[in-house]
Amino acid sequence: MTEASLTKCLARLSSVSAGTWEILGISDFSGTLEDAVRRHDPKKPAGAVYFNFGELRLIAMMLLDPGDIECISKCFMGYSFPRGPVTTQTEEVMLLELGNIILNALTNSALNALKKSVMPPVPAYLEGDLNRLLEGVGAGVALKNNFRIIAASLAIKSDRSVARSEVLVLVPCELAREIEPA
Amino acid sequence: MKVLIVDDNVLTRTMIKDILQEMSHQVVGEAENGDEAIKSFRELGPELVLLDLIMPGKTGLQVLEELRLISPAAKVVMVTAVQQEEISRKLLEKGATAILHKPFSYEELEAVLKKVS
Repeated sequence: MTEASLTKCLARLSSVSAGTWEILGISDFSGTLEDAVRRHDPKKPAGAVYFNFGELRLIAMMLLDPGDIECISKCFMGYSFPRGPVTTQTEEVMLLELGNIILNALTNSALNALKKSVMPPVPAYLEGDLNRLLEGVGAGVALKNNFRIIAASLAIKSDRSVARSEVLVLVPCELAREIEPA
Repeated sequence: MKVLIVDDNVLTRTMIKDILQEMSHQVVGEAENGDEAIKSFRELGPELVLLDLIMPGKTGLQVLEELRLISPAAKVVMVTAVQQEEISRKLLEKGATAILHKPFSYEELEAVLKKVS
């Protein structure tokens, strides 16, 4: 269900933007927030667009390599933001809108399946190493908590380059049980 | 048509504005949050509001309710990536003229504008 919703979203992005957006693989597993963040190479700093549905304790995040922003902007906006030493505010605004679209596609289907309705928060963006991401994304979350994690690897292709991204939705185990077959 | 664009994301506002101008609509104003949207609506009297749902401060749903009190006949198209059934139902119940889901194409925006004009 989540895969279908994400596939539909990426197909729409491919038809309305300059890039080609594809799922390379999708998996689900049980783990902590740290297990989820480690989907991005922990040796490299990552950028994360994320939101946390506080009352449901459900987290959605999109992890990317800040070095790929030139390719991602080309695909999403139709033109490249020249890559500087740090991520600019304009790049961040672009990533927030992209993350908003992709993360909502993931969470829409999960929430519809749970028959829950929650107004999503405004997405946030941060960059850094594993610890920085855990502090930011995990604010207010018990880091030892186990989640049911749905993870999708994306390829974002322009005519000249390819970027990768991991998108994840972390569903608290007690909530996940509500949609799993008995 | 005289249009007010409400979205906290400046790139989205610019993208929508460019498309509307290409379609020969007049963008009379832009707002990046709910309070600015209400103020601009009162001052500019747009024929149509394109209203984002998720913004800092007031949500698009709260803004929609306020706009309805000011002008029960106002045309308000919600522009959002949220496709939760209950939220969509509530938006229509509160008087949204239509819902345009992100990401959308030029043709989809054009079709919504034709439908509401």
